[in-house]
Amino acid sequence: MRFRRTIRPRPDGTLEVRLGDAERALLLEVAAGLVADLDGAEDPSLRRLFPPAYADDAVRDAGFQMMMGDELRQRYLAAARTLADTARTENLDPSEAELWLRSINAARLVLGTRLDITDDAGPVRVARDDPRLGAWIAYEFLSRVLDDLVTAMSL
Amino acid sequence: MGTPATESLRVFGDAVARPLTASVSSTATMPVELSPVETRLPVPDDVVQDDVPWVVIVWNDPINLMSYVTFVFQKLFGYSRPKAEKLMMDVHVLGRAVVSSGDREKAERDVFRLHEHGLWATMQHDT
Repeated sequence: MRFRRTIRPRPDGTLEVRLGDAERALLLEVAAGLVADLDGAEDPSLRRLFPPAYADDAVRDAGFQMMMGDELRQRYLAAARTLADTARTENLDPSEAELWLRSINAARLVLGTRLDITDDAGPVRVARDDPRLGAWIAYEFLSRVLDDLVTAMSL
Repeated sequence: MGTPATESLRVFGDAVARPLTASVSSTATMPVELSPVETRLPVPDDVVQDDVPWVVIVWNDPINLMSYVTFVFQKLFGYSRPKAEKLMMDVHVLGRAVVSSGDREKAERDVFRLHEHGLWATMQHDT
């Protein structure tokens, strides 16, 4: 069974967001969490957001990170703030859609790192009393919205 | 991708090359007789290497969605859907794929845009 799509393209180029109140609340929570993470102290679970640029040249990579690292952080932050600000909207214009795309993907990377996702295995069984159940639900939800977003934005 | 970022990268490149330039110019104060042989100073490795094209590589990771990776390749590089899907499958199955190439400045710009989209991208010389 396929869930109904959470995002649909409109003829005028905007996107229709079809999420319930609980889903929007989760989206807002995820966005606020990402902003807090990016604003907070160094956190190893954010490492996937800041990969090395030079795989085999530590000196050049240090320079690249020095020049670009903060810019990258600011762009993630701007995207996450837009997601938080528009979590309740029913309409996304193309620039908002782009920021949803990047921030939802970034949130998936952080959650996936915290959940120790290390292979491409399909559905995971999570026990009802698993302390990470909430993170799994959020991760699966974001995966679904992201996939719908990509489909809606695809040419 | 804004221009300021590109400029700051260039500044960094100059900073790396500067110590080499300084040691070269210091020889000019020495009372030596210049001849064509002596003026042919060793070219820093940096300069030679920067003439070689750079390639941008995207690495497989277990989190990014296949549909998302394909979409990012189309959006950032203007690739057709079949080409973007082929690159995505290379990343997925082979573990990596070269997604763009060019001079160092272009490669750094591409790496940054891929990072901005959460993809695991690195750059290296085309060997």
